[in-house]
Amino acid sequence: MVANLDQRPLSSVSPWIKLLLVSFLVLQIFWHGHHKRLAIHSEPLPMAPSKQLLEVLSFGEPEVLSRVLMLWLQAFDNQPGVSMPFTRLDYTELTHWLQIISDLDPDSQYPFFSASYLYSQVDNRDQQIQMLSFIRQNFLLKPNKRWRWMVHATIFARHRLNDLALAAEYAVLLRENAHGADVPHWAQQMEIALLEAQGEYQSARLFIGGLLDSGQITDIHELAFLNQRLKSLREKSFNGISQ
Amino acid sequence: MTKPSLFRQLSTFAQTIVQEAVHSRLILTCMVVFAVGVGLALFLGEIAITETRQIQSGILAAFLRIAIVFILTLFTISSMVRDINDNTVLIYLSLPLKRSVFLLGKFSGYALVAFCLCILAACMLVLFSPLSNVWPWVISLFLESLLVVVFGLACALSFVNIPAAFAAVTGFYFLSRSIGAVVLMAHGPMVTSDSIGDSIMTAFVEGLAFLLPALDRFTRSEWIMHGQANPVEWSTIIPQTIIYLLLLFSVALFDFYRKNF
Repeated sequence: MVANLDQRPLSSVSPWIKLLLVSFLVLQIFWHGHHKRLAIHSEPLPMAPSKQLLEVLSFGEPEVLSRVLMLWLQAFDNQPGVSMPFTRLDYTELTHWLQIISDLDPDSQYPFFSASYLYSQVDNRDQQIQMLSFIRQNFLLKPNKRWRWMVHATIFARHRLNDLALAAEYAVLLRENAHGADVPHWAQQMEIALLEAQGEYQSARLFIGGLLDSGQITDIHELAFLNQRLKSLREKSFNGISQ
Repeated sequence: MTKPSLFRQLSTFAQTIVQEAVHSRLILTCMVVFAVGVGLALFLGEIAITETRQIQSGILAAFLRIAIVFILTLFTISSMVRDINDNTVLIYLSLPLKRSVFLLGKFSGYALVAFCLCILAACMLVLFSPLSNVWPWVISLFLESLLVVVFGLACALSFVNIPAAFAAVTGFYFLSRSIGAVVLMAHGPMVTSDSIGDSIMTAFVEGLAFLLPALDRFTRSEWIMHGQANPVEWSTIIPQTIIYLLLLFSVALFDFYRKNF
């Protein structure tokens, strides 16, 4: 066996050094075990900083910072030891955060996905309207890229808020602004769909089915999420009929 | 005895530095760090509900970029400072070798190491993004690495001290990456005062922007995420690399020729 020339044998280490090492290792374990655990309390959403400040802090990578902030925001309701319902979030501040995340990367659809499928699913009309307003405002900036969120907002206004006037307003905005090659014909004719006596499940099936058929959704997580959502709407719809 | 050709001299230096990189386990370290980046990307991809690939590739690209820049900087600075402290530089300079060739040789070696690391990073990124999105990013990363390497070389020669040189390169890198946004901020709507102090500050920021390379235009994760490498960007990146590389190289040469070993 070749002797290790780089290291001296263990016996060359003085016993008091070994003792010191073991004692402080034990002390560290003891300290950690008896240390006061973090208090469980939910933190409110902090104030969104300015876009300029975030651009400086992104060191030339605003798109990456946008995604990191989005994941942080998405996980904000799950704070250490406590799961906070969305209704307890400050929706004005939430809208600011979503807006700034979208401004950092205008090509990202994530803020609109979250506004449509996560933050609008609360039982508070004001908060739902705030999310729809966020989608409406941003749809007008890039209608051909963000039309699908406006379609969702139209269905949501019609079936969840039961606000036909608001749904009709959104449908008109879609018809007037979304004219890109990627915008399907049915999306531009949402007004007709509103007039038909369709339930939420049928409308969602039309919308999600149309998106899946067009091949615009490729992300496996999003596909799974939408399928799950369709399934839950179908169950709700069947339960409603049976009752 | 005939004097070896310039190419031969440079390739000898390059070979020595690649050997140094292998012996100091630089490649192995990079592979471990890159694997951590891939793990982070996979983890964040699991959290995401949509745009999973974009999140994974974007975050991995930003991670690899920072990792390569700092690993290369530390390698360049520590290698150069060790050469000076061990008097290896004196041995080289006692040979019939110009100081400029010595420095160019060193640079070509570090550039070769940078190239290997960039290729390694590309291999990681193609797991998450199509090759057509990855190759412009990798070329840009290589050009950016060259600038960082030559700045590290210049700082190592000037300071002959690893922490000081590393701090200088870090400051230079982060300032160069954010100077565009800082200039916009200096002219933004938040600056409403017309005081002399503000005017001096704005002029200082603008002056600084003239001296720094526009690294915020280089190696953008956006190219990986959205596949939007614009040909116009190349017309900025390539001339900027050539100009700044030659500027930094002449700074390093100036300092090296004045050094009395």
